[in-house]
Amino acid sequence: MAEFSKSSVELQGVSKWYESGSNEATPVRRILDGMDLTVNEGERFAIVGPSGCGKSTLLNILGTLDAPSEGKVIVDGIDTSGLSEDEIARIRSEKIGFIFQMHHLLPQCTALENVLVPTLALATRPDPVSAMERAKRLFERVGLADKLNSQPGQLSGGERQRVAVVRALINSPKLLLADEPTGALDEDNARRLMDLLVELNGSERLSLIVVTHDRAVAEAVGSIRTLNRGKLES
Amino acid sequence: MTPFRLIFSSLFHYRWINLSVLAGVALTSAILSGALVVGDSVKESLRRNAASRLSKIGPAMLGGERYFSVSLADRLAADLGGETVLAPVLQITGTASNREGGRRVNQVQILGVDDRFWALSNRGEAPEAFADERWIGINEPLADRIGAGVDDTLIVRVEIPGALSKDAPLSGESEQSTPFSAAVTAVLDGEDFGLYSLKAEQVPPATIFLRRERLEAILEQSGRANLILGENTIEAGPFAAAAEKAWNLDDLQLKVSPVGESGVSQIVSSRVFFDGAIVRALEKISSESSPVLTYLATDIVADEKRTPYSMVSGVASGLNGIVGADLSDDQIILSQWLADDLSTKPGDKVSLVYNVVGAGRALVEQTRLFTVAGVKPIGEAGWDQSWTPEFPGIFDVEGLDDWEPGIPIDRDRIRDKDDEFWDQYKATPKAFVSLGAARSMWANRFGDATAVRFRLREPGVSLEDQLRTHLGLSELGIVFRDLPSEAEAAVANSFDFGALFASMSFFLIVAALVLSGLVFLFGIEQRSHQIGLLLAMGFTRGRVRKYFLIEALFLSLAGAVTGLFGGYLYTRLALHGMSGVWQEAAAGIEFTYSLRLETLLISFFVTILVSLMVVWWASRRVTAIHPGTLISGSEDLSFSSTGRRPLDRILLVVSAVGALGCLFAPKVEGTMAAQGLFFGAGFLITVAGVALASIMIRRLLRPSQVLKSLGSLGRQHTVRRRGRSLAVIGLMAAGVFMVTAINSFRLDGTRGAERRDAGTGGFAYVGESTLPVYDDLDGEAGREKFGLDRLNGSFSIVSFRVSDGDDASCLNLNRAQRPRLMGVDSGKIAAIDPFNFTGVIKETADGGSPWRLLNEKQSDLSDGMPVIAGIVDQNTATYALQKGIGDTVIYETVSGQSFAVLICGFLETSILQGSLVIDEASFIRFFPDAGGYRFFLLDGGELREKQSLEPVAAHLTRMFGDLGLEMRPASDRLNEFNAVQNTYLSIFSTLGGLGIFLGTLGLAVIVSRNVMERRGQLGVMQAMGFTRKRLAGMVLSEHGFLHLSGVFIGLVSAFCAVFPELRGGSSTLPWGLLAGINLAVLVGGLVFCWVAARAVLRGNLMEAIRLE
Repeated sequence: MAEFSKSSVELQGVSKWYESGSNEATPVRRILDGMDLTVNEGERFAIVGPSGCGKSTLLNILGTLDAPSEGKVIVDGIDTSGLSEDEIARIRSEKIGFIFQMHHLLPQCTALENVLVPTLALATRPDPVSAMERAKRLFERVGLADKLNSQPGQLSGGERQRVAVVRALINSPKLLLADEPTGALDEDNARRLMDLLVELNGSERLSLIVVTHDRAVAEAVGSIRTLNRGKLES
Repeated sequence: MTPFRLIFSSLFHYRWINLSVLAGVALTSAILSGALVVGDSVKESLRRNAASRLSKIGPAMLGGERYFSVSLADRLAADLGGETVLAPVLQITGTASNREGGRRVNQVQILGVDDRFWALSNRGEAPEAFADERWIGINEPLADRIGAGVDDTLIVRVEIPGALSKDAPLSGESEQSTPFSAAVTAVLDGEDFGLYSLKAEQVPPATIFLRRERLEAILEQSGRANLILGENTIEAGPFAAAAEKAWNLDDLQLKVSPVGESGVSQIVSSRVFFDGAIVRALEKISSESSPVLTYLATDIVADEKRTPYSMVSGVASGLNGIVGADLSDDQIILSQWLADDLSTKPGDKVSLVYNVVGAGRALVEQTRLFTVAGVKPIGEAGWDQSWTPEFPGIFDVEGLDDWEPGIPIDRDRIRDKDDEFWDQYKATPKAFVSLGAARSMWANRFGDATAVRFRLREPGVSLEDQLRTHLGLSELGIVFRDLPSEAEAAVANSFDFGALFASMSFFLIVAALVLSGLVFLFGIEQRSHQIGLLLAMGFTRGRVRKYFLIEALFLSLAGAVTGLFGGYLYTRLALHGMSGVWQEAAAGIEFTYSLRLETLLISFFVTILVSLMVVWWASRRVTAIHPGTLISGSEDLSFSSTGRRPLDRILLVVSAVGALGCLFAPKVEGTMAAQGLFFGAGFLITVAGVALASIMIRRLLRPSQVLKSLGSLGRQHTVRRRGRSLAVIGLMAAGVFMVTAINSFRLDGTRGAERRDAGTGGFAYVGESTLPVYDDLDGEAGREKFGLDRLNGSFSIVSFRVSDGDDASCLNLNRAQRPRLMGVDSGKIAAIDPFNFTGVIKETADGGSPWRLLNEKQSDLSDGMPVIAGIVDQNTATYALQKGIGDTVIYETVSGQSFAVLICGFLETSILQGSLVIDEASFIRFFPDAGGYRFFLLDGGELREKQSLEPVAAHLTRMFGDLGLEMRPASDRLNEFNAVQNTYLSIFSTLGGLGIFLGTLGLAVIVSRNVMERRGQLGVMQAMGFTRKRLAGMVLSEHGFLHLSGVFIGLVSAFCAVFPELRGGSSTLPWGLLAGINLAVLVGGLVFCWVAARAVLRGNLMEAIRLE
């Protein structure tokens, strides 16, 4: 793993806009507007905002899944602008973990196999035994030690999402990005998942950013920032 | 809202998917209707071809070897009604060479015709300038082949028909063939009988037309014809009946003259030897009758004295004053002249020395001892020249020095007194023996009488009228044929190209159906939420499926109709192919597009039925899923690896056992049954392979502690849609199997051509002459006569007698009505034991060559019809004759007698294709007039692999060029036949290749669908750090695995199917072609997978996550 730096991810003057297409009066739809943001190691916060304000776009830019129209994204001290797709993918595999509303587990793989899938994305494959040991430890941490060999179809919705969390952590990322992680869960499972994420934020020393429209989820994260008119407000 | 509104809205809303389904159905309809219409078109083309070759010809009377009077046509016409057209024709076969270029064409039919012939043509009138006695017309096929046109000159060579066969004793030594020069006046097309032929074959023969009078003069057959053609308004029955009433003695080449005592007549034939039928008929109408058999004795010997070259007559007692009832078979009556010459008297012994004709005109000298019973003076008691028939070369010459009787004449032995005898008595016999003695010495296959003396029972009634009551023309070898009916039968039973193309398109049809079924299934799956919703609302499953089926019905109707137009294109392309690159499959025919309404209706309804079945099957699975599951879309996770699905295991065991059974079942190598078993084994291995793949795929689900690679992760995806995965494997395996296995049956005549069990029989050269070669080219005399003994090398020549018939080989699309018959010395060919027998009726008694079966006596049929053994090429029997081993083929001899050829053996594809082969002795028995040999095989014997017989073949071609003989490498002839089968394989390859192309297209559809369904997962993987390229690689690995598995299974199966070919080495596997096809399939499939994967992954995968 690379050396930890002070910031996990940093945005410098990041703007994002889309061509509006047919609307000639407002040809450009601006989502993010010159945003500066530094996410320090171990820091966590939730991003809230109205629908369509650009929360997911911001998250994708933070996770290098999307490129900004303007500005710089620096992940763990590495400026991603000008990097090739392969180089960016490498950064993602090593430093960033994602959790989505849908778990997207591979139905043909067991829970353990699903968790190990990200190890295949690493440029240097980790030792399989140590990867599995880590996976098992993480499964224990999320309370699924007895579900290693279960197929996704044999798991509950909450369990599937916890497997997705383990999958996001398997490569020891510095930054965990969660996009509406509880959207498909009931209240109880949602609460348990958020507790788990907060706990992992502390124990794994990773930065956690959660995008949600659910106030309770945001409050569970502890720190809330609102995306408004392309700017992030505390 | 009504159900139909719902259905139509759905049809419109999902129009792109529906259009894809419609395209699949249209493709099916196009292929099916197109293939069947190919059959219609070929049949119609053959029908038109037959109509062109016969034009307005109806019944025909064929004289065979007999030349009847031209006036018979007039008498027939008068009997049938004055306006009826009946054309007398002189039709023979010859060779033609272009005087300028030297190009020669053999087997040219030469027609001497008059205006009546042209009245039967499509145009209905004689070509321009036909009235000119030097007019010569040639048809376009001859013009093309010989490279000649108007004003060019051809040298035509024809055989002068003798009074009797050249095989007959004392047939004369005149030139066998004569040339004449023919300056072409016109080149005739189909309107002017340019396609004229009486044979049920689509390839028009090369033809020369000239005025009949001119041909009569060339053939020395003044006022004679051997064919009468009636117009098609005449029924065959009345035509034959009228002919039976109209003939006279001249038509039968008979002459009657009074002899001896009052009321006694003698009948002689210009054919010298009498047909038994005439002798029998005369016996019935006469109060007394006595056959006469006169022959040439080369020597009559008494002690030291010899009298050379004397006629001797054999006659029964009665109706003559020379031979009494008391003359026994070992007694002889000498003329006074002979008795004086030999100084003999009654009671002395004299020997008759004479020659008989053996096989291949070999002369065999024989001697018989007689006791002189009496001596009588010439000129008394009717001892005159009338006893001697008009032997060619004897009767028609001036003196003994001019004799050419067909046997060697030692002119040094002819004395003055012999010349004096000739001058005084001509060919008067010098002695008489009993008829029994004469027949035992000189009876031959051409007859046992040279004249008949008779006294009519009813002298007041004309001889013809009396003979008619006991003599039918068919007994004399005159044949009546209903040509239009024969042509229709030949076309109706012709090779079914519709079935051929439909069967060869089978894989293409299945691929199209699978493709449309897949697209439809994907369309339904895309609407699974809707289905769940409808079920949740209270619609029954049956009703939901009904809606889908009604949607499918509309799509099928539209697709089937659209496909009919596509079928037109298919047919056009197929006909274009058969006129071009595939012309070997249907040589010599101009194709016409033709369809029948029934064909379209059949294709239309079969397409709809099959499409609906596929859709019904496709919709079955989705509507069976729980509505809640459908609505939530969670069916993706609902499958389990733990469920036991023994079906694939059962299928694996059953098909593997079946395949082993097929492989190890007892079988006769080289037979179709054996080939079928190996092919069946290959097919079952394909099934077993797919079943095994199904099991293996399920095994991929077993939990693993370690993920090996992204590729292995991809391969695990195959489990997710196991049905789809197996469809891909199955489709690829079946396609590769079919195309590879079928292509492996391509034949190459040059490969192993020297082997005895090859299609060449190990013979180096084969030749067929237009005119017969009468000599035995393998005999000492024949070799010496033709200079073969001076050639280097060890070789032998196997000669076949030939009785012409329809070509029953695969080159003839029509159903052969009268297959050609060939006679061979069975002992000689058995000693060589050539060709591979794929089946025999039984083993020979001594376990020797199956050719010995030809010599085995067969029991007559229940109706007394004689049966002889025959051997035939299996393809000819199976496809042209549609007969099996043990079946019989009925033939009719020139004397109207029927006999059956029992098929005793099948030959593997050989150069003897198209003919039935019987023993030479049987051939001579039933076809005594078919003199000489016309088919030759040149063999190098034990040294065949070490020496070239090219000089021998060239010598034979040169020596017998005038007879139209051309020796060609046997492998070339074999390849001509092979070309047909190989062309069928090419057609199948093309159609099969298109099928595989559709299959790979289906693979692309499946790849796209699989990726579309998993865009969310792939988006997550992208978020994990996998690049698009790696994801595409994973998708490629997954589907490439399926594709490669299919190809691998297909290749293994194909290997099993062609194993006997590989082991036997009897055919040349087209490794290049097979490798090319399979490589194309392999690479094409992978490219399709890659392109499809890249295309789908090109979009924003993260968007897919959000949309979900």
